[in-house]
Amino acid sequence: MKTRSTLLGYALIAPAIVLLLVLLFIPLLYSLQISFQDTDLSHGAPKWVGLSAYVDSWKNGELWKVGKHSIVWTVSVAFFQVLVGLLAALMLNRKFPLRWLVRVLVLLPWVLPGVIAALTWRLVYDSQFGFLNSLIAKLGFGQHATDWLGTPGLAMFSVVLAAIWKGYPFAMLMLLAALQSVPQDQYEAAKIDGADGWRQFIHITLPSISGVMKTVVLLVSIWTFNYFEMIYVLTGGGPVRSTHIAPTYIYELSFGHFDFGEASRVSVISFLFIFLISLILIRQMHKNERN
Amino acid sequence: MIIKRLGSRILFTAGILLLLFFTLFPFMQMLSTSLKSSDQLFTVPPVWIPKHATLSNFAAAMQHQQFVHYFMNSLLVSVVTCILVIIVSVLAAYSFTRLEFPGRKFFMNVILVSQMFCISAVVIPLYKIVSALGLLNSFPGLILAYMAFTVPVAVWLLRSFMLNIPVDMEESAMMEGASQLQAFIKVVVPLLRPGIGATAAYVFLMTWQEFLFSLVFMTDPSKRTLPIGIMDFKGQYETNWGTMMAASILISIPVFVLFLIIQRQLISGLTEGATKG
Amino acid sequence: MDLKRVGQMLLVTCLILVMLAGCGSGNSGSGKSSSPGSSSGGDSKKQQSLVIWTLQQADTNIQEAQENAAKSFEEKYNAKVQITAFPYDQLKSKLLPAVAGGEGPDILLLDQVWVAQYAAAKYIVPLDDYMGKSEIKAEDYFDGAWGAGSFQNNIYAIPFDVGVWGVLYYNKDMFKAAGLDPEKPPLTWEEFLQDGQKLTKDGKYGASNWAGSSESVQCLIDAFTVAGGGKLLDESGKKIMINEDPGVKALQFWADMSKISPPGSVGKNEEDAMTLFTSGQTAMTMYGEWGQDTIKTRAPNMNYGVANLPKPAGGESIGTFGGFNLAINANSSNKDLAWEFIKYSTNEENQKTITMLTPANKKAAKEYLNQKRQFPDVIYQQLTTATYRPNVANYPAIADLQLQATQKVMTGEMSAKDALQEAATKINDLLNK
Repeated sequence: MKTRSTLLGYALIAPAIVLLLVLLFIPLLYSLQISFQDTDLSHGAPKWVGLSAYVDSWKNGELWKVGKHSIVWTVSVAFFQVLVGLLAALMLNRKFPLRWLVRVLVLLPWVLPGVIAALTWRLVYDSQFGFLNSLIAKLGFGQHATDWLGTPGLAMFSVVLAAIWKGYPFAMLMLLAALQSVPQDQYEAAKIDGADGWRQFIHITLPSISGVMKTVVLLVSIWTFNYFEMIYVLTGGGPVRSTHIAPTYIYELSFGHFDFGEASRVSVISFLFIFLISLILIRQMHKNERN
Repeated sequence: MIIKRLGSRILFTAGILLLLFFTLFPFMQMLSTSLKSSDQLFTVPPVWIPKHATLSNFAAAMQHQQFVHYFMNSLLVSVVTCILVIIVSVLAAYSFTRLEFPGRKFFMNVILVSQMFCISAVVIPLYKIVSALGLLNSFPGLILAYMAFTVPVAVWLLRSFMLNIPVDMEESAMMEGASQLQAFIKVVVPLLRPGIGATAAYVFLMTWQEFLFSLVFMTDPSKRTLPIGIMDFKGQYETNWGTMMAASILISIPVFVLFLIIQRQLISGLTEGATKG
Repeated sequence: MDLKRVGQMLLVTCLILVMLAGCGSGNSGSGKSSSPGSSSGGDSKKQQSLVIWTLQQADTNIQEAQENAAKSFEEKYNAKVQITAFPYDQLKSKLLPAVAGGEGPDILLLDQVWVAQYAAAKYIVPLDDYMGKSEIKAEDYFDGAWGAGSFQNNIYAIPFDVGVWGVLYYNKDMFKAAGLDPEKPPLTWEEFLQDGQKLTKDGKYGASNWAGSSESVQCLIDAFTVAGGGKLLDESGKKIMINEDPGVKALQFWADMSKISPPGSVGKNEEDAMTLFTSGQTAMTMYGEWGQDTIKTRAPNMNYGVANLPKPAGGESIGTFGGFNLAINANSSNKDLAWEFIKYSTNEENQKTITMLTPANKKAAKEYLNQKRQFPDVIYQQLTTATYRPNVANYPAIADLQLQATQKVMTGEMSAKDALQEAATKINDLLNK
């Protein structure tokens, strides 16, 4: 049951909405307007070209490549962040000695400023001085000088791994909070019924945390799509642009080429893309809420 | 039965250790680097535990005159942002989950959509707005920008936590004569504590480590935040790895301690909520 | 319904928000006077103020010299000068939103390769009128640095300091150990690769190339192209020439260096290559003359030499200019004073003490190099003959296409000829869009 109260309802959301309108939606409208202009510096002053600007960006071909990389990046990072986060949350929800310490230790990657985290991974991946190649040698797999960030194909894997590391604590934290609000008596009842751990997980745990889980999946996907620093510092989009994703491309276009029109087009398109995907996810969520 | 339990115990321990190793592996290189003097920094193969460990990098980081200053700036910005965002977002989340009014869905979608913006795409127009408000190079300007970028997520998180709290508990409290606000404070807020804690942690960390806004909006050296300040150690041509890593460790310690405290509170909040529920 | 109290809570929230905004605008009163681009302010009514954004100095002596120079400028012109320093990456990301947003400092310190962009976007003003009324002469500065400050026949930025990509650093002890004469560094590409082979043993390597996300590799390959008698652009500036023979050979030389380099060069950048050299993993490296500072801090006891870049068969030893020029913000309300300051900071006397790289003023450069650098003659020679990168508005896009070609060759995806052909086609499209 919901209380019907128009005035109070509006009043309570007003601060949030005003803030967003002024600081986010005005910039968005501005971007939208710029996106219909040709701002290539070699063409002189910006010109209004309308929708044909979008057609040109599409024909360019770069957008398609960047889009593909963005999808691979987003899906793999988001999936594993949530998976690792869930496993971690399940483990940390059980009692064991020093649990309080472990719970805080696993938050460390998230605490570290993004640029520092990326620079640290640069060291780790260094083919001569990095600990990763050294670890592989110590584990007995032989001395290699793998170029983690310079080999096309491998570079994407490397940035994805670093991004999973940086972001999984958020998923873990959220899911842990959700797990703790699962009523304990349900487990007691299930134990009496003789359900094993797996069944308890499927029938009690998962349904109870599914609401938070979906929110986490949605948020992590959006953030990953827009996550910029890791790739920017580690590979700058290389080698041969094999790790260029939408945000690094937008940054390159605006801060590198001063081509704000093209940058706005890419950001409008990627915004629409995220919007559509989110819409599908949210539909799903609302359905569940109603049930 | 005993073997099975032992097996699962071993598996569990291995899982925890693996998780810790994955999490802490880059920190090992960080710590190792911070303890090496510049002539030991780069050797092939890399040395994990330096033979002649030195604390000189930590001393150098501490001596950096602005370092403590940067730290205080970051702390101020993060804490204020955190408090304001939680207030604004709890109100909005309550409104979205407990009240019915025309356009509710629409505004919810407005909030949702606003998390989808890419920072590097809006930073230039946002700069113009902050400049028009006369808030460039000031903490309120930076805090407002951070609020804009964290409020949407905060509202969504709090909303999903609030949805998990059964409405009938508030209703029964109200039937017993509590006002709506009393019901909110006495029933919803305690149960919401883990949610508020998690959301606050999110907001705090987002602001604590944010780079681009802080770089673009703040010019005065005395107003720089830590993520910017720490990059002082990375020059155009030469990165002072040892000192930078030492500084990174130094700034992680207080946050680590803060989380140790918060986490105990989170749990006590939870158990309280559980017994009362 | 407890509307009142919820309303109160709301009121408090709004109040806090308003206070926040209010105290912000309160601050901005005082903030504005120091804030970039704004005109008046300061104590006395007539006193003008200048805001300058510059690069952070590792060397505190330079910082001090800059402060002193600013102080005497303040006294001379009864003005207030405010210098704020940033690390390179930060300066780059910070300047653009500020200047594009109608703010920013009065005087911009621009990397040479940014000048054309800032000029094309009309963020900075042409200086030809000021030039005509002053004693500043192009001949006083290194050609390449002066050329980099012009765009479409106008002067937009006066050279402040310069550097050259690069010179050859070599480890004399490693040369001895490999049976090479430590006083005879390689002069040609062939000798360089041969010596490199001899130095590549026992887990150590001759040199290291790189192709990470950095433009420095393009500086060197451009230099090698010109060294082999090639050109980067034709006279009209509408056609790229890197796909001709000298360009192909230059890229091939760079890629061939992989044979004498530690594995994993594609993911490296110039700093990584320098780290390999200072840590004794490689015997030679190509780097700017400022690399001496890095060696001083990282490997103070290294017995090293500096030589000119090796030259191609039948070619010369040529490097590429880097460095910074000073320009005036189109939004500045104190352009005349800003020009005075630019003149002031590029004169011979000041140049000796306040630049981070080598002074752009040739006379000052000589003295500076003699005082601060080992092997000053080698560096001076490399500077006077250096070429500069194409100063066209979309240079960054061009440099990226070049970098991709380099990466494709170094990962073995394509031959140098094909990769450069592909890049040239795309670059010509860009130049003639």
